Amino acid sequence: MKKDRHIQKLIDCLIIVSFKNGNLVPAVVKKNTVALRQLSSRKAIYALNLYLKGLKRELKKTTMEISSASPLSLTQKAKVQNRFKKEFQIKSIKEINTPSLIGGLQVKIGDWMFDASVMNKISQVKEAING
Amino acid sequence: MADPIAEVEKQLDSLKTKATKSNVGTVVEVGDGIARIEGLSDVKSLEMVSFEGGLFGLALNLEQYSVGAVILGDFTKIKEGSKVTTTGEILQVPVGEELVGRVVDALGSPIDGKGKINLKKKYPVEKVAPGVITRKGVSVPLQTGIKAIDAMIPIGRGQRELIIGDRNTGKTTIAVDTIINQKDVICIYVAIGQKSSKIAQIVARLEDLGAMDHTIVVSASASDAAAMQYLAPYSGTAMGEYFMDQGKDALVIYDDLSKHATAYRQMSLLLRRPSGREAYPGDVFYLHSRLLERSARLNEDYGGGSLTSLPIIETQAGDVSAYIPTNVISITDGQIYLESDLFFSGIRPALNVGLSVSRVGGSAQTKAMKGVAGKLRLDLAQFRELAAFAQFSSDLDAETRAQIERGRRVTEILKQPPFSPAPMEEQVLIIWAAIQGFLDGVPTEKVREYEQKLITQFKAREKDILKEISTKKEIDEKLTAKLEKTVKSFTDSFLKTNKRVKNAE
Repeated sequence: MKKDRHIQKLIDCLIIVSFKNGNLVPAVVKKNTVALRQLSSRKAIYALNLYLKGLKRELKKTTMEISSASPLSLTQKAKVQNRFKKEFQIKSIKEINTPSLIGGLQVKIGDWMFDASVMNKISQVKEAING
Repeated sequence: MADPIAEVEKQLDSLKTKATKSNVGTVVEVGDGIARIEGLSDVKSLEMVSFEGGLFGLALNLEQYSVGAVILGDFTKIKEGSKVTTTGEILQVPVGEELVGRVVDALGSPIDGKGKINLKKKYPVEKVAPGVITRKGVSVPLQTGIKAIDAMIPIGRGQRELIIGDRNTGKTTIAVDTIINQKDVICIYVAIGQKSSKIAQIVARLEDLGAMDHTIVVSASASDAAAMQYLAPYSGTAMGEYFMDQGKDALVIYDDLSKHATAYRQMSLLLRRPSGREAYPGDVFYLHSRLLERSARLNEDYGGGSLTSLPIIETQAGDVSAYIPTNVISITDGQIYLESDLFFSGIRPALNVGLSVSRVGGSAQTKAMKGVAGKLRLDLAQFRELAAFAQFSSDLDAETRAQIERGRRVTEILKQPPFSPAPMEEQVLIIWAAIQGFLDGVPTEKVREYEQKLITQFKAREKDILKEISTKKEIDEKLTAKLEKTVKSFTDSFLKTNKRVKNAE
């Protein structure tokens, strides 16, 4: 469906009210979904699609993804969370096992990637040699 | 020879690796050279972004939840879900003397198979044009070697002169002739959207004539992505600006900006930017104005260098009032208008002197040329007015007939074969001979032969006169007297020989 600016603006407002203190409010989400289903079927599909994408996008901003070559202990995860909690609002942590990193870890919060992996350091060495 | 292993070890010892912070995104849509990326919240307009696999792109569209980027390379290597990172840099191209004599692509990578170019210095592709205070007026001529242009539409160093005409009217030939005629000017020929075979022919021609020694060719052919065709003129300008900043003179030729506008239109439509007149985006004027404004002549405090540009525009059916031609005409400091009718009637270069203009004018001409150009223009203007009556020449009065005959001969001497630029002193010589009436007795069909023999004669026996014109750059009374004597004697001898040959036939 062609982009509808009115629906986009409505969805933007609904996304804002769906979160309280960075946490998703399921009751509000349910209420909004019911309301959007009242639109004509084509607009409803488009609006619900935009709403879902918007919710995922907002959730990603408060989700910390930690990628490491080997699983982290609870202490290590807490340490990482403490390091970043001043800059970012972290509501959930996701752990991803990535053996290709060799060592160290990669932390992704929203659009920001902090890379302290061994693989990254090898790439820096490679770049320095190639010039 | 230094030990390479020791060098690498030294480099590694001084290297400090660290954790990196970067802004990332994910490709959600890719196709036709454009990628739509979600994420990249910290990206800036025209920032370079790096795709997985080593490709780079340029962030052009910053929308609310996505970024539209053009891919600078083979977009088939990028998949949906590929990671994208900002680089924090704007697009830059390598610049330097090592580029001279090479053929490169829009990103400065060599494509002529002559090996890697090692350049440390880089210039941004997009740059703000020099300000008013840094500039100086255009006063030094840029000799094209084409008589009609140097006499009546003179180009100065730092000027922007548009070459405009239909297809196959000799636009590229004028540009190439200008390159061939340069000695102390670094030339950059930017080929945009042209056939690769045509670009190869031009490079071969420049190499044969020794002109590649002072030329850089930036190639973005028709088979290259629209993004590369869009960037090529800006890359070429950046390379020229390097020489301008060194205090040298540079010339950049954009062949042609019509295809540049078409490539930009394609990119903008794929990026879903709103389209305007003829489906061009609203900022198509700015596309060319910010490019051409970078050509300038700098004052001594800033090195005294200059960047002259010769943009080329192809018209359709001679329509100079179309959108892109009118845009570029309003930006440049004059235009050289080539007509198909003149071309096919044998007048080559097919210059329409009436519609062509150089807004810099006589300031970019030597005194010698200025002295002869005025009368030349007058003779041609009078001929044009009487041209319609030329078919009735036997019924006209003697004065009108004389003007028509003079105009015919002047038109003949302004014809010039391609890739044969003439030095300033030879141009002045033949034009002077024509306006003084020495050619009035020469049959029209023999004028070219007369010209060739006159130049040969002067090169062989009157070198000092040519040298005097070339060094003094003006014709004083003493030189005029010498010229009159020599040219008269040559003309008499030529006419006598011609008559003898005719009688023999």
